[in-house]
Amino acid sequence: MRLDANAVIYGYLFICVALLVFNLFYIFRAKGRKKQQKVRAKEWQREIEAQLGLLARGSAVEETHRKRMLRVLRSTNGLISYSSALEAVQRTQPVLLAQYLRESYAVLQELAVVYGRKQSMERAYFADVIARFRPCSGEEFRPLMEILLSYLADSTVYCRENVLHALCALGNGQAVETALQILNDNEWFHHQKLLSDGLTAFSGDREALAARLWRHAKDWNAYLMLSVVQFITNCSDSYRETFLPVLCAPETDPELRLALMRYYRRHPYGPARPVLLEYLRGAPGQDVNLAVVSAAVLDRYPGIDTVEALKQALGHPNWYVRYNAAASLVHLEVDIRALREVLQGGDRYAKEILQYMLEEKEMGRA
Amino acid sequence: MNDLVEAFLRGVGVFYLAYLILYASYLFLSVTVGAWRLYQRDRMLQIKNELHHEYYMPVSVLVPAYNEEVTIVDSVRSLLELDYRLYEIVVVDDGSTDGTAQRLIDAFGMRSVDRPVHRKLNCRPCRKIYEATRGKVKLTLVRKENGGKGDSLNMGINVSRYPYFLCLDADSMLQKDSLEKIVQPVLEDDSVVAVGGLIRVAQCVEMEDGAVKGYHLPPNPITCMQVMEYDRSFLASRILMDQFNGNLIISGAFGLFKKDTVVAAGGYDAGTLGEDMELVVKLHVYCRNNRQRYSIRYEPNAVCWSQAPTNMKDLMKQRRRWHLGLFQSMTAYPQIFANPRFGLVSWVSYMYYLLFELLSPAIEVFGILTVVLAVCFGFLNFPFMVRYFALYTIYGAVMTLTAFFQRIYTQNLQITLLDALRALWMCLLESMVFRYVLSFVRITAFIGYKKKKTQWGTITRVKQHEWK
Repeated sequence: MRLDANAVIYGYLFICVALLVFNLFYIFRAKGRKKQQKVRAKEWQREIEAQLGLLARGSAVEETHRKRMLRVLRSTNGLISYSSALEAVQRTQPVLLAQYLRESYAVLQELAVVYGRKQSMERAYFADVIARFRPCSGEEFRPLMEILLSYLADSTVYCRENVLHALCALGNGQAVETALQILNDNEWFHHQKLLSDGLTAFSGDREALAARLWRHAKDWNAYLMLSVVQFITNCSDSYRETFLPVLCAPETDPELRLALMRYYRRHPYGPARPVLLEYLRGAPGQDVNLAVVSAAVLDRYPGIDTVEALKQALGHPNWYVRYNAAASLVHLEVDIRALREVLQGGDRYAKEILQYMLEEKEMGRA
Repeated sequence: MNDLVEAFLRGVGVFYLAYLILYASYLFLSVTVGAWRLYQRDRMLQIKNELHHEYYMPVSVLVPAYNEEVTIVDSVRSLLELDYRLYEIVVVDDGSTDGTAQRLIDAFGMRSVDRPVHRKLNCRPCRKIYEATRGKVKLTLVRKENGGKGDSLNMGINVSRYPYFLCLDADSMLQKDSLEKIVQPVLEDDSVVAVGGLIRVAQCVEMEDGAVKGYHLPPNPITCMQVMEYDRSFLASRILMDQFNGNLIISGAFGLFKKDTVVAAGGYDAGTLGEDMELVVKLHVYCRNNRQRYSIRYEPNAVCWSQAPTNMKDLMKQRRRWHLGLFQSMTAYPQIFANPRFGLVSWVSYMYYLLFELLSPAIEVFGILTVVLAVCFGFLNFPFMVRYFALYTIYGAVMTLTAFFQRIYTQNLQITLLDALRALWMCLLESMVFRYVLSFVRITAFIGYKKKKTQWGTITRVKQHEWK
């Protein structure tokens, strides 16, 4: 027994020391690699600057440089050094660098194929490089975009994010549309906030993109359409008429309906007012969130009927409806005399929340 | 009689061998997995596998405070500097007997408001609410009747406006990017209901404008040994359990929660000392009972620097509190024990906390008594015992050292050679002495248990510039 115990203990100790040694080895190796990358980035910077010099004199990028790119940038570590060099050059010579990148498009496209065969993590990095340095842009659908789209398959959230970011940075509506179509068809999750923020960063014609994406209102899932509506809310006021029938349609997804209501807060539209008022008054059995959101949205719809509906909402059983209604009344700068009946009335909850909002406004924060 | 004792000791020997093999294997596995995950994360950050956006979901930062007048103003000031687009700060003064509230009111020009509170969760009554706005951030101070930390957090949840809340100790310091980092798991997966961050010992760090300017081991050996202990625990165990959604604890010093789910589960238990662990265990039970898809994550890149006790008295107070909290949380949900419905949460996480955390002090004391018995009957093989102890100590120390260096590397911290040597010495000391002292402290935790049940375990706080 004693011998066994010894063997076990020494065995464990050996494994443990091996782990420590491995860790120390890894740390020193990784540090060495980072130092090496800095040196290589400097080399790349000198080389790229030489190529920019040629471009400035009207010549083309050298074939030897392209070949070296193709050979060295296949490795992710090589690409890290190269992108550091590009970053440094971008700070000093952005215009020439853009020309250099356009001329290097074919090489990058070839590298995109190489990275397409690598792990998701590496694909994500390549997409990030494309997003940062944009070797092509505009409405022409280029093969590089097609390759980036293929990265979406079997990928992580980071890879999807970087690919979408790259496509938005390249500013091609068709590529972005296809990417969302792929997400929809495969039911891959990508947080709606990431999607809508990503779309807002689209570098091309955002109105055209909005039109392209809204065409899928009926065939894409509600989660995806939620991001599309949020994107449209951020970038376009031309959907007031388009959205209204969707807002009223009974089959519209509840979350999507709330997003559409919020659109009408950012972009007020008279014909939406009766719909919003109806939601605030609330039919029996209606989703209470509709009243919550409409109480907030109506702060952009001044009028007697709005004020009356909001005053009534101060007595709503839901706390958030009362809170939003009070905030909206204050935001609408309703005459204090019109609110007196609430402030002097018997509904303690209504009175308290309204008083608080008035106080907030007085403090300059409402 | 001698035969009987010998048989008993043999049985005990086998038990301890099995126990230690199990523990050593767990430790080894967790350090290995932790290391692998951290290196992977380091590489991911290097090659831009991260979610970096201008805008994330809004977060309410809840700071429960009880007699925190020394640090509260500095803490809130540092919170106001966070790199995050939309958040609010809610400080809940749990009936402090010092000038905690007054310091805040004076420092930030707060005004008393008649703000109605949406009481979603039960808590002690509110006395007064104050508000101020600093730049883009709304700061709220709630003064309430004393009810304990859990009760204060429930009040904070009631007062908060945003769908996610971050609970934070009043003495904690966040890095500028900590909030952004801790929110990221929620963006990766919408089923995430809670995220824990990495807690590190604040006495090691020099912070300036939310950024780490320097790192050194504190001269105080008690604090220094806690640095080693924290690194081992947060590097290893939590990352391993994160692999199978099995973390049973998110430190109250720094954790993000989805408000709806916490409210639906019943919020914090005001009657427990380990309200942080109790909530996480409760979330596991609630989500599984309701067949809700959920995930509880640990994000090692979100860092919070929290003050560790600097003297033995405070440390003992803290550890007794933690041990009682562990006991309360584990006994409150016995249904997790050996229950296939809870999967690895039951078989690995719960068992780990039961065998190697809750029962370990008792097992260790039992071991010492057995050694005494063996001495009395002349069965003790002294050289073997010394060798066994020495090897076990070295094993623990090497594991801790591995965790320490991994942390230093992955956080890009620089330490001096002297600090590296001190780390080596402290790891040995921690493994040789400190853990046994703490075991003794933990076993005495139950003395006066009923009296201490809802008390704040306050420790002596000092301002950052006074650490040196």
